[in-house]
Amino acid sequence: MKCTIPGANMKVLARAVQSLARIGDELYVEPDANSMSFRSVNSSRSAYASFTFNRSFFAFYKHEPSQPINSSQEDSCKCKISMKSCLPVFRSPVMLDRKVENCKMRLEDDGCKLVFEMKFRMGIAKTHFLPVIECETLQVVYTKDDASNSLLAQVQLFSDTVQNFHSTQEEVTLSVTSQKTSLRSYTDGSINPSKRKSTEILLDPVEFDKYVVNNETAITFSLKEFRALLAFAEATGQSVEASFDSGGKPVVFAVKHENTYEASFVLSTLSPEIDSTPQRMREQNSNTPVVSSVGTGAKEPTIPPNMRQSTSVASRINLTPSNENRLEEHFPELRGGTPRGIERVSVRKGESPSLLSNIRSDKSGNTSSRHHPDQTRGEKRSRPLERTVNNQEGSAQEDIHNNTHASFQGNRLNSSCVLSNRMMASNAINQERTSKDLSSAQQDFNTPPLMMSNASSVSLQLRESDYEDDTVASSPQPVRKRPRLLDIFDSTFDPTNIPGHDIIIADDSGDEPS
Amino acid sequence: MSLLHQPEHVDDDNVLVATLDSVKVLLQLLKAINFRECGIIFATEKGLKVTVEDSKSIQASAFISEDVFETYTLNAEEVVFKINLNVLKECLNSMSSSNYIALKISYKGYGDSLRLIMSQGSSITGCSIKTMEPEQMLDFHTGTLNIINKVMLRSEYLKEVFNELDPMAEYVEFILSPNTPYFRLSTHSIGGDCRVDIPKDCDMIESFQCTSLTAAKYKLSHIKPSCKPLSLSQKVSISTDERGLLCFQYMIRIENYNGYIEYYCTPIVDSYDD
Repeated sequence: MKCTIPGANMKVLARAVQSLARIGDELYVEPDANSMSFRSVNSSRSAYASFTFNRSFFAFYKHEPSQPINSSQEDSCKCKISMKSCLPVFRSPVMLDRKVENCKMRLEDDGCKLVFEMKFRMGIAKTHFLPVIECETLQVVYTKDDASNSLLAQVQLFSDTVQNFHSTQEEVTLSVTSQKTSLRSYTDGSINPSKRKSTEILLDPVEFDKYVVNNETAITFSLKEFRALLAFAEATGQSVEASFDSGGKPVVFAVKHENTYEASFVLSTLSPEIDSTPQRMREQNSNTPVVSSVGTGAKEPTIPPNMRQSTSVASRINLTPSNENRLEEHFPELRGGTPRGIERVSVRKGESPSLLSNIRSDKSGNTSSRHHPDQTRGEKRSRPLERTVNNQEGSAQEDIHNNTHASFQGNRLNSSCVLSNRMMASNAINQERTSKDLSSAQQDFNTPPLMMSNASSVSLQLRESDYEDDTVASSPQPVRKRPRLLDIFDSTFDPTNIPGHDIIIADDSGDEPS
Repeated sequence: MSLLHQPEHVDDDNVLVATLDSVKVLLQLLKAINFRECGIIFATEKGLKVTVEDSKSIQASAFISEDVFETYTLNAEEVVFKINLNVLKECLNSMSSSNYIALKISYKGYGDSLRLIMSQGSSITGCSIKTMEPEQMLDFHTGTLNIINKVMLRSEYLKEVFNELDPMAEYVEFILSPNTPYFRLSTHSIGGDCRVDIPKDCDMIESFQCTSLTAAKYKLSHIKPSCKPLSLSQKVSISTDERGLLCFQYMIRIENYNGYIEYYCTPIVDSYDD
């Protein structure tokens, strides 16, 4: 394989290589009969970039499959070189543009070295011999042409949009509808979203040169690789086309220049199953420490905050059948009953069962002393739910009648209960069904009602969970009431009806954002 | 300015008194050779020379001839002392801008501090820098007697060539020959090999006098400090002798004055390996 690149095109090639360097550590050079491709893939195989240069890009292009060294090699022209070796060749695109007259590229006959011979304007010749790592090709499977969504815009639009995101922003979500498009920062559940700046930019379809949306969807992909493409497109001033179907399927960004070259970046997108839960909910749950709170025993004067939290959660047990089913699908292990600690633990999809069981064991470590030794596993499983729900009632009353902290806590509890009540009121029918389920078929209960709570109540929970450190470990658990009280309690309890609910006996002494 | 030109009765004690119109000349030359902290200053009737040496392998000298100075008085045969160049640089830089600063240097002799007086407009800065016992420096001048090959080039493009030498490489090989390749620099590293060929009819070569093939390897870390004077210079002359001693001579033009820097580099002698 031999080819000559004219000086004017060296800048493009240099930028292409620099762009590829931002993707992966190895450069695949794959010449074909009529074109040459430079490709790279990242280590996690989640981003792939390919730059294909057609014959017209070269001043001279000759491709003949060289004699195979052994018969198993079909075409030993394809090779892979280290990015570290070739970056110095293309270090300064600007300088290359000004000084290079042409660049000859060839693969040595023995297939061991890739040679770049650059001729500079002064007569200086610079030759680079880059060692070939191995002869292997990169194969990627993707389709672009039948993507259901396709957007084409000038690179300026994308660059200006992406500029608004912080340089450390890792992933963004592109949502398209037929009316508008939005690009917003994506945070996974591990980071508290209320503590992190998030950005959303809305774009109108008219800003695009081509806007075809057949499937309204949202895809989340990595910004770093997208920026690498934009850097290339900006330097060459092209427009960028995005083709995608839906989350989980790769998105293809393409930059084309007439018939001369084409760049494609294929980025993987997050699967929607992982992405469907409200961010804050998952995050809040993950912040929840595993503190024991299920147990029998005497009335507890102070309600540990986590209890309150769990009660609020539990009160929002409004499973719609659809949610329930979906979650069961994903967590068949839950079907067998509620792992004890699960209402306090993040139920992020994709979490392995082993994680859950670890948590389970933590909790049992804390509470084993509390429980009746003869409780069976089945009972244990069923109990948490009713207990926590009932605790709400008990705790509410205790709040009011008891403690220094009580009223304040009661307030917080009350407000969250109010919200949950509203939810419950609107889901009255579900309520009944749920309570029946609880009483009769608790084994079938799946915890992920967490998924259902609305965001505002979740944020209240967030604050409550700040008080975790005030909890006295292994404090006695509140009284457990019988499930029968559940229906009456849920539908008629309104904390604002209780006199004195808004009297604060003593202000909280700890720091907290009021 | 008048302060600097006062007839000083103390001048009689000074073995060296010199005044410069602009501090910039001295400052830039010092910056170019400041790859070690200390340097030795020689004052002769021809002018001032500042020399820096490293590991007995490389030596750089900056020359400011006496016609660059406004006044230059030397009252002794030879004046030699070692001084901390970083401190000297700082002092010369101490006024806010280095334009239009006049400088007066005075030195009373062995053991005395080097005194500097700088004036800019109506503000005056005085410095006194301790001097040290000078060390024995290698005399590379004997090498210039048996030059085999010599090339004179314009520095412009050579700057980039030197700056782009593979940083991962340990050695750089200089090949000079009357035949092809005329002038070749090559490096080897795990990232690959790189070769720069400069033909003798290249525009940037002003003179090419090569008698026979010389090839020698030099440590890249020894060649790198030469990039600074190269970037300042307009012209450079590269010469080697039979022992492989590499000599760069740079012609630098600062504010209508010519300064010269010489840079010597000893080759790596291979015993058995490549």
